[in-house]
Amino acid sequence: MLRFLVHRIFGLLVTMFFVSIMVFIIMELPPGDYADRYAFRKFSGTGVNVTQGDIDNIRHGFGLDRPAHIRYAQWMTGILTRFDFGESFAYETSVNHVIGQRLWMTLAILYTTLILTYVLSIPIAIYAAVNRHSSVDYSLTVVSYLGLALPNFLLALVMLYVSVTVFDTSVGGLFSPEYEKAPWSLVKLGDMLQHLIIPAVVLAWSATALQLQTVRATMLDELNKLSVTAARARGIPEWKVLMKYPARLAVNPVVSTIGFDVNRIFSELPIVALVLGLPELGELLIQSYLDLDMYVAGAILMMLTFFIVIMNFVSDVALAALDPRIKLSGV
Amino acid sequence: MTAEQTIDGIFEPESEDRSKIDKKLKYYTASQWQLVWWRFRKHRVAMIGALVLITMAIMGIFANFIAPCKITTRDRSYIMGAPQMPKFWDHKGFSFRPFIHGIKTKRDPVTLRKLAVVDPETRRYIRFFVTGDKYKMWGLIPSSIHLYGLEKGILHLFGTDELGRDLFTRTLFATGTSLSIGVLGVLTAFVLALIIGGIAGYAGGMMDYLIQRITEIVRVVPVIPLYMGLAAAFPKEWSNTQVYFAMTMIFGLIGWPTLARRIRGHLLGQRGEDFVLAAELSGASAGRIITRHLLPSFTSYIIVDLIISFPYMILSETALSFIGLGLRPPSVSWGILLQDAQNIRAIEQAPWFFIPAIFVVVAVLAFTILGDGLRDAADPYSVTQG
Amino acid sequence: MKPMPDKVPTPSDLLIDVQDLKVSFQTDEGLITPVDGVTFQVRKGKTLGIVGESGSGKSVSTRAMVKLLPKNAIVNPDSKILFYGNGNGTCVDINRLKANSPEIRRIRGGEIAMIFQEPMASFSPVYTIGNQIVEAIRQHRASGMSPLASTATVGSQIMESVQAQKKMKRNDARDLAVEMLDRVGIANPGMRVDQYPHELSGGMRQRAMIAVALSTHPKMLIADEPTTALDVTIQAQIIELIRDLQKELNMSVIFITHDMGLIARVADVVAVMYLGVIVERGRTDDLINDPKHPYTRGLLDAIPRLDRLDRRLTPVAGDIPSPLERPPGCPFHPRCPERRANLCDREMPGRTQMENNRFVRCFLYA
Ligand SMILES: Nc1ncnc2c1ncn2[C@@H]1O[C@H](COP(=O)(O)OP(=O)(O)OP(=O)(O)O)[C@@H](O)[C@H]1O
Ligand code: SF4
Ligand SMILES: [Mg+2]
Repeated sequence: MLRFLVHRIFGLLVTMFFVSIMVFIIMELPPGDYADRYAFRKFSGTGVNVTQGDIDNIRHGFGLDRPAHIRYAQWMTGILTRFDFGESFAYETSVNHVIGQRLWMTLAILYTTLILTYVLSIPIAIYAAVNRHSSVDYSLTVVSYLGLALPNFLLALVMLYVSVTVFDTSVGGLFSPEYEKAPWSLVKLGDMLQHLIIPAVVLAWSATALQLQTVRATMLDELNKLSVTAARARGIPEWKVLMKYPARLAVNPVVSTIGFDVNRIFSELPIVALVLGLPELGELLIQSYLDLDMYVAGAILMMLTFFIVIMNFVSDVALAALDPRIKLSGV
Repeated sequence: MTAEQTIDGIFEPESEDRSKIDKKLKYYTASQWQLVWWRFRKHRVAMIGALVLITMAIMGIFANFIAPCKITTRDRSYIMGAPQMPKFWDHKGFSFRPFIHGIKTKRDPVTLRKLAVVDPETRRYIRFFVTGDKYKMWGLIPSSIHLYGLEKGILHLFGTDELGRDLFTRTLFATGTSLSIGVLGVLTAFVLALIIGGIAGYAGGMMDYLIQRITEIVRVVPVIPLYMGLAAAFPKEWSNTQVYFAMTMIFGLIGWPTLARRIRGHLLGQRGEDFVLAAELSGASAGRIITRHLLPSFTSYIIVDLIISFPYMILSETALSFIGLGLRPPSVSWGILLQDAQNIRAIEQAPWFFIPAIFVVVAVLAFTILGDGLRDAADPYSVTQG
Repeated sequence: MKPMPDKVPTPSDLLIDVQDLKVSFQTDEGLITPVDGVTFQVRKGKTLGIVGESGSGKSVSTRAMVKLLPKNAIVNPDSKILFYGNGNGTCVDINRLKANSPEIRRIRGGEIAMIFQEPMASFSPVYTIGNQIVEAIRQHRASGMSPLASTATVGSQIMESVQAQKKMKRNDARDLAVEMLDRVGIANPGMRVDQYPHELSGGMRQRAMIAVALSTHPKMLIADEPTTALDVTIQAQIIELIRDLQKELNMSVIFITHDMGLIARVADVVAVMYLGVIVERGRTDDLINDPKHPYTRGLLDAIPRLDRLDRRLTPVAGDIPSPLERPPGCPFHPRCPERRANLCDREMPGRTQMENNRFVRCFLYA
């Protein structure tokens, strides 16, 4: 078990290392650099004539004239030692400050979505597989096709529209105006949970569609296994047979794809957040890409990926714990 | 006994009529492709998917001809106008030739804004193969013939946008753009996957390990934020054509790993097979072995994979353009058209702005059911006896 | 064995009496009837062997006996499955019991146990062997039973309805599981009980499966090709084990196989199935020494024999038709070397009774 954990953690670190390089490359890609943009922003419209020398000074001041690998090392050292992701250009403050609470909002949305996805998809898919060719089974097929085909921003718009016209509530943002600036309290938490429902439904939509299909397919597979017939032949009550044998195994692919689901949710999050006006990382990511505020973008990309990698790890470990066929002795 | 008896004492089963035997014989001697086609034909839903996609492709390819005008043509008399339904009758009676009612402009007495109002007294008849805006078919053949048109003005089947541009025309061209980005993206991904997956699968060892790592990284980074990051780097001064090709490039660049994984897995599985060894022994080169012996046995799977990866390309393009990091106006794509539908106001005032979204949904659905049908048809394990 | 007069089985030594069993399946291609009027009896303590090629309906008919068929199966309501081993000697018609009712579940596993062809697939890979034995024991055996009671007496202690009693304690059930593993010849049962199926060898898994099946001391064991997946030496050991346990527990066995050679060694009575009907049935000696039905003869010719090594193996020529294209008349006629034109392909031959409670379905004997 220990070897297994060490091996996986090592793999995780290697992956994160390569990811950080890739993120750094993305940060460096846009034409021009921080100094150009800084100078443009600082002096445009002020009538001051900016010379190449001024820009070079700024560049030197920020340490941007050093070679890329040194800057990468500095960036990484900052993150690893001080948890410091650098400076935001657009907000003229540290990236950490800009990100602030948004990180926790993002995680709140992520976990609400994940829980919603699994709470919906697992029981429904199991029910549909057991009652094959029932109306639930057929509607599941239709719903899961739609789940994959409906762009999530569209769904977000529809939900917005419905909630405004039918329920007469604004769902934009994560808090009602009166709690926006209020200190944390139970009431504020409740208010936030209420606002979380719509983003969670929108984001869970396609993840649920996928999981419905996987769980149903696995369940159908497992239902045909001889071990299920053997358990029935032992006289075990039907519901107990179903829960202990096929259903138990139908959950395995769900566990093994947690990382994939997180990836999917994070992938869709920015646009959904933009439409719904959620103060979290995805929306900030789009904004910073549009502003070419690459340190903020890089930090967010790193964080999102880090969570995906962590969830992959969690799923590996959980799967190993669930399935005795997976050897725990490393590799 | 009769002549029916064969040497081994096995009877020709007489109750089985000839046609049935012929059918069986045909089945056993059919090529892999024939088998796939027969099984696919039985899949009615998948056939519908294929038809829908062919229709969309035709709409995109012949957009110039089908559309009543150009994407930039502005109908100042009909700004933010609702879709116009051709009619065959009104209070004046029936007409064989479809028509729409004319438009009058009025001022709103309160806001003093100009309003387009339907005038039920006038009829504008629809004609086919009319002369209209000049265009060059596929950039080559100059023409000014359009499939349909009104005697006067433009028929707006899908309504118009805030500038009075015909949404049907724009949707047609957007269909072409979005589908072609999908096609090019998938092809780029495929070529990359083939090269990289082929190398990894065939060479094995160190190369294999390295490619596995790259695959792993591309797999853990959330896709759309990654696309956005790459798209953010497009210089502002790039032309739309440049952006268009750059987008297909990044889709290909990030889309290959899944495909490469499968190709690699298949190659690793087949490398030890007898026919590969035989080819190796007879001195065939690595490239020849891959293309001649390994890939053909895998073609049907590859096609299924390609079809299945289309929806992701289409949705990604739509998403990128929607937030303004992909194609830019005046180009049109489904994502760009949907930019107009970003807020609730649009839903309330001009629900027809969402028509392009129906195209996205239908296209993605069609690709998905087509892919599923093809997969079922190509799966050799689903062969039933007889 | 001296020839005995044909003795019609009486309820006193009958365990199960299956009458005119018909099973159909609703499939995408239409209704198929892979078991079409099967009748047989099993006596207490005896072994019935069922032979036949793949698809002849052996598994389907035996699974129907304990209502273990998939949802798309339809068992003819007029078929009878009379079970005489129901505790106090009363007779139940299993076909009348509701699916998943407590009665059928008590019989299933408690009175009639099954083992299957693939020992690996019969166990769920994610639970230990012990877990799956304990599950069976606690389902069927009440508490207060001594785990060490001699196996012969425990059988009679089985409670009428375990549901009404307290279940056996988990620890006691586990002790019993270890004892059962020991009994089926698994070395180091205390360790094996906590292992997963993939940690056992094929032969050991089949032994463990037998342990699961017999841990409830059933009156009948249905062994559906229990040795097909095993190699020859292990096959012999497993058959030996089943025979020993059968004697010890005075249990009836239905032994299903493709292999005529095997059936000769285990069965008292043999039924030969072809396309859902029993084409010939009789005492093993009679049937092996003097096969009547052309199909039985074909199957016996297919056994490799040391004294006839020069002769080519002659499996029955031709393919078994799919249940969708069931031939009219005698189902065997397309492959039968002795078929009679204008008769065999038109009419279904009836049963011709012979001495020693034997019958054949073939016009040659009508
Ligand atoms: N669930 C089902 N649905 C439809 N047809 C079925 C089903 N189960 C079995 N059959 C059909 O019933 C026929 C008899 O099957 P069965 O399993 O009883 O054969 P068998 O004699 O046990 O063969 P084998 O030696 O291969 O085990 C087969 O042709 C099979 O196709
Ligand atoms: S009834 Fe006719 S076809 Fe059937 S086994 Fe007898 S001889 Fe052969
Ligand atoms: Mg069978």
